[in-house]
Amino acid sequence: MIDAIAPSMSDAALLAAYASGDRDAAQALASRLLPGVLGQATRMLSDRIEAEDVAQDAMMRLWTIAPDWRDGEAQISTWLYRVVANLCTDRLRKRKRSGAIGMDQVAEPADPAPGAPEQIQTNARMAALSDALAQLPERQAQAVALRHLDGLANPEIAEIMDISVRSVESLTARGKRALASLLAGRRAALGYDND
Amino acid sequence: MLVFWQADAQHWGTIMTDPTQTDLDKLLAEAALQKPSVPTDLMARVMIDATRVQPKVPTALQQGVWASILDVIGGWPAVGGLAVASVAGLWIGVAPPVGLDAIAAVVLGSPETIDLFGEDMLSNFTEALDS
Repeated sequence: MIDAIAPSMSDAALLAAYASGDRDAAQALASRLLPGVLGQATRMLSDRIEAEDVAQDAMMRLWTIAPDWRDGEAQISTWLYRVVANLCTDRLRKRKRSGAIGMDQVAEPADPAPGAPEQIQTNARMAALSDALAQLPERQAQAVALRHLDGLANPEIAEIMDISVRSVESLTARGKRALASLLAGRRAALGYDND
Repeated sequence: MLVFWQADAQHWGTIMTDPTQTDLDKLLAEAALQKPSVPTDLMARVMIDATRVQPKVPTALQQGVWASILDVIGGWPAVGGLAVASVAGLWIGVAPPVGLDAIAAVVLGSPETIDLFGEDMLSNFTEALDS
């Protein structure tokens, strides 16, 4: 797309161009970064509307910080991972306070199509995972999500969360154990009895 | 993905034998596959935001005029000095400090009248005209 006109430009260079008034740079950056931002939010929240809100909010923060961004201090992708993780845990905390959605309240598709039952089951599983993440302490939820949902390596997670690699290992281990405990006994509800 | 879970199995050791943990691994792996495409309206909203908060950069003409003026007077430090001098001058004019008149007299001297032609010469000239 528009990114094709500046494929060799780094994210930071595009952000600097945006801050200098180049609107095409914003389009190129959004095309490059928004899919990842939306994916991270979707995997953590399992809610399309909320994920889109978080993605828009995260990008807004990027636009706002553009004039003050100092190239070399941090990678924009790392910074965005941190922003999205924080925004998602905020949402999960609110969800927990207001009462989790729960698998049973997951909406069914309005127009049942071939494969719809499988899709409903998948949506229910994702909602159950997201609700279980909401029950974890925020740092554990972030570490588990970054490691197991976004597939990042521990050193990268350590940089994003500004902690040591050992702390990341500890957080993911405890988080995963807590998740397993929260989801224990829901094997049938998750649809794993058919395996 | 297989390599990923093998590495994780080493990390988790005996926990991987727990069926609940295995289910969790499946669930996490399934969730990790979610890669939604960006809806057109979301991209539009993001671009509207970007345009709304984009720093306003002066046009080339505005930039050129101001740059020329600044160059002529010596840049921003000169603008600052000019402003301070203007304010100080205005203030001294509005409310001169006590003793300023005496200092002015010493520095600038007292006003004196010099008669270039002399009174007699002028009166002689006047009389000549009258006669």
